[in-house]
Amino acid sequence: MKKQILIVEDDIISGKILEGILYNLGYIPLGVITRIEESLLLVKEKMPDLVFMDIDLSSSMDGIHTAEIITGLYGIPVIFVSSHNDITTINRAKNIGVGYITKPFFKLDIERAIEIVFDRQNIDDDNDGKEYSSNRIAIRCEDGVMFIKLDEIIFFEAIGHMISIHTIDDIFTIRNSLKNIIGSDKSKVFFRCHKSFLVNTKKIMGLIKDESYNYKIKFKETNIQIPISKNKVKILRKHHI
Amino acid sequence: MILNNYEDSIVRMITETGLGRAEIEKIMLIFFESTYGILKDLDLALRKSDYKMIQKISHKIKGASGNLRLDWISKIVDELEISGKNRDMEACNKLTEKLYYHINQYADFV
Repeated sequence: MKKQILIVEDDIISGKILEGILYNLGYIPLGVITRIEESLLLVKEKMPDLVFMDIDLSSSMDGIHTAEIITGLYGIPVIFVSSHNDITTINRAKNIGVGYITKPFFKLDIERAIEIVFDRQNIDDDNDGKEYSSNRIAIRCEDGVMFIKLDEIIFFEAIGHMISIHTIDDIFTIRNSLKNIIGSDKSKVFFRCHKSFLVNTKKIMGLIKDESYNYKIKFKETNIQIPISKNKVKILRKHHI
Repeated sequence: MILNNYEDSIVRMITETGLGRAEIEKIMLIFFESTYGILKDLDLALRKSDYKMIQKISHKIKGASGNLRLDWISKIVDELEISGKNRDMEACNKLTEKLYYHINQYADFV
């Protein structure tokens, strides 16, 4: 399936050129958006595969801040576009985006930047959250791929299209869904206690009620508490604790 | 001379971006039409000695003209952005005049 790409650029000329290049490369450009507010709405609605984001947008928020929101909430990769050459801006952008191209645009640069993003994504999709059968989970990190043993995980939390994996000492983030993880959990120790949480039942100490009389799960090795849906309390008590 | 530069820009655009001539000429037309509007804002910024706005407008034209391989225009607005940063009004005025001249020359061929 052809990948959909959104362009957020307040210089309409550069946006049109980029749109033409993307189209010729075989992608589906979702248009050139000049306003940040509109871009956030469109991202939510269309869920593009990639966003090209101008850094210098005439708005209260700059492109880097907007990219932080798009990546954090939806896990969509962002390639920055700018005519800036200063190292501070480039470094700031590199921490958020997955690529950086400067104006003027060259077809070859754009083609390579996109290929790098989608190739990397394929590696992530192939590795992230896999290897359940050997009781461990693969996570992409700076040095390549690392593995966490399932019995070290306390719970998973879904945040948009990303998942936080909570262990005693660390929190890791992967691009996956709770549905995928529970579907691949051969050990059957993980329980979907809430629409956003998947808990390791071996780590549970018990249930407590908070001041609003809602149940929360308490753990043996950490003070963190997570919510449990009312209709899941009985099931958890009967089958897991 | 200007005609040669314009043709050079088109040929470079075709080679470097892979876009077709008709598509490029259409974008060129949008550029020149929109730049006339932007130049009015630049005039206003000069009259108010609004250096921040001068820098902002120059930066915007620089990105678009650079992308269209309109090197002469790109070079002028690059200098204009620096002059705005240096708060050099004399240089800003001279460069704006130069910019008007080149935009008009190019626009005749578009």
